[in-house]
Amino acid sequence: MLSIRDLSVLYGSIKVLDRINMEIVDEKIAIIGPNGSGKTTLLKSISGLISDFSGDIIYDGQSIKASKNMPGLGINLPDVFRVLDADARVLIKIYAQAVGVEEDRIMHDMVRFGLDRAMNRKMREMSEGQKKIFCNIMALHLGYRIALLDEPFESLDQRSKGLLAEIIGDRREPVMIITHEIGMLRKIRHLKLFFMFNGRLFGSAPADLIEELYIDPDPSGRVLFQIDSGDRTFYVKIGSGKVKLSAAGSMDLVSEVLYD
Amino acid sequence: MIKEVAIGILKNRSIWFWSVLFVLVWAVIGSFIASKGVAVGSEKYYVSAWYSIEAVISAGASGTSIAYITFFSSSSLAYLFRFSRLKPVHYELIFLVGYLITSITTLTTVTAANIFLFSLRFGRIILPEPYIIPVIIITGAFMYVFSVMVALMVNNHFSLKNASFTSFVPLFLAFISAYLPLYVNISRWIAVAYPFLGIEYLLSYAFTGTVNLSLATPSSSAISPAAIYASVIGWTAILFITDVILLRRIKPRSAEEMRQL
Repeated sequence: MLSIRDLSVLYGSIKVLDRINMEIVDEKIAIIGPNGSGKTTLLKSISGLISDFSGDIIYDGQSIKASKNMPGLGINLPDVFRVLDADARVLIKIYAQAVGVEEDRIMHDMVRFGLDRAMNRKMREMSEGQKKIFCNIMALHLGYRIALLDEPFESLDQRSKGLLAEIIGDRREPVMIITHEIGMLRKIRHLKLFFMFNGRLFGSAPADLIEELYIDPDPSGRVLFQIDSGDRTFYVKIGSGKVKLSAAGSMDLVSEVLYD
Repeated sequence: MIKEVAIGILKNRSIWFWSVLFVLVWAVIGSFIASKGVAVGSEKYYVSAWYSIEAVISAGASGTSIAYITFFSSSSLAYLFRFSRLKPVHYELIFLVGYLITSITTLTTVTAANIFLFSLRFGRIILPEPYIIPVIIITGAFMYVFSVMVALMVNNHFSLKNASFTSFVPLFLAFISAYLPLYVNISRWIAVAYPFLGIEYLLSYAFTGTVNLSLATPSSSAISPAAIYASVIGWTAILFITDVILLRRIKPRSAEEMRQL
């Protein structure tokens, strides 16, 4: 489905992504990491919104750089839904027809999230929460082969967060969730957890075990894998360690404690 | 998808404000304030000059909105061409037709308002010839492909620092070009080769039945409308192909980046 090979991205002289390798065949994965670790850049590279990279990204057998008219990959970045500066209802019709998915099914989910009241609004007229819900739903439907979700729970109320976790959990097709919030990942079953630090990807661990996962600079104990962030090395462990992942809430806090 | 695109563009408030309301202020000035001293028998030339200037500015204002929309759509289009069935040539065709529906609506509104206001002023109905309809369509088509070309050229090859200024290029050119036939001696070659003048001459021709190089002097030399039709249609075709080539190479740019600039 999706194969990432030696992907590196440079912004000027700064290496934002550093030799990322990953295969997604038929699974749901989450990548967690502190702000600025390169998560969104990874997502933009996969979706072709950044094309200046080395290495390769293969989607459905074709390099992303050369791919054309290959529907089935959805992404929830607002920039992707700005055609015509049109209102939400018109956008749904245009994108559903262009990708070849049922408009009614998209509308059904919009109603479930209470977004039917905002259908006459343009994206820029929506609240942050409404915008996020709209983009999430579009990405999940347009991405009928794979959906890429950047911080999907950000700005959502508790009810919407729960509903979204349920929809992602029930979904059979692959999903890639990128977040620095750890709490919601507990609610999604069968999720494979990767970590991103300083543009490097490490992993994986089953998110079902998140209550037992710890990060620790000390290598003793049950180590799942090592994280070498460039300037520091620490370990993802089961059972005990310095920082309990599920208690940290956010990867920014994990990062703070580890670098303390 | 044409219907959805047409609805999307028709709902654009800035197109209605600048292409219709703003231009109608000029129509009121032309009909009731600047019309003193118009010689009897020359009313249709006076109306044609005012109308063609207004219509070109109206089309230019719409073009500015189209250029702006195109800038903000770059990431969306890059995504759609990669991950949907939409191809650049289909996009250009669908959006051109969708825009034409809007353009026909706005220019017809401007035309109807001009007929009403000037007829009221001169006490008799002043109507254009029926071939004003294809002229309106050609005007809309040319302005669309030109505005998309300007936006894509900057989006693909230059810094977004120029984006806001570049969006106004269709309006600037329309505004400057619209007044040229009133104040400058224009050669036949320029009249035929420069499409902004071409659409203005054709719009004027729909009221007078002749294309005079000077809109202020009905006795000035006349040129063949067929040559102007051919030129504007030719330009539209060339720009259409250019748009498709630029769309194939579209560079996704961040809307936030453009807003900040």
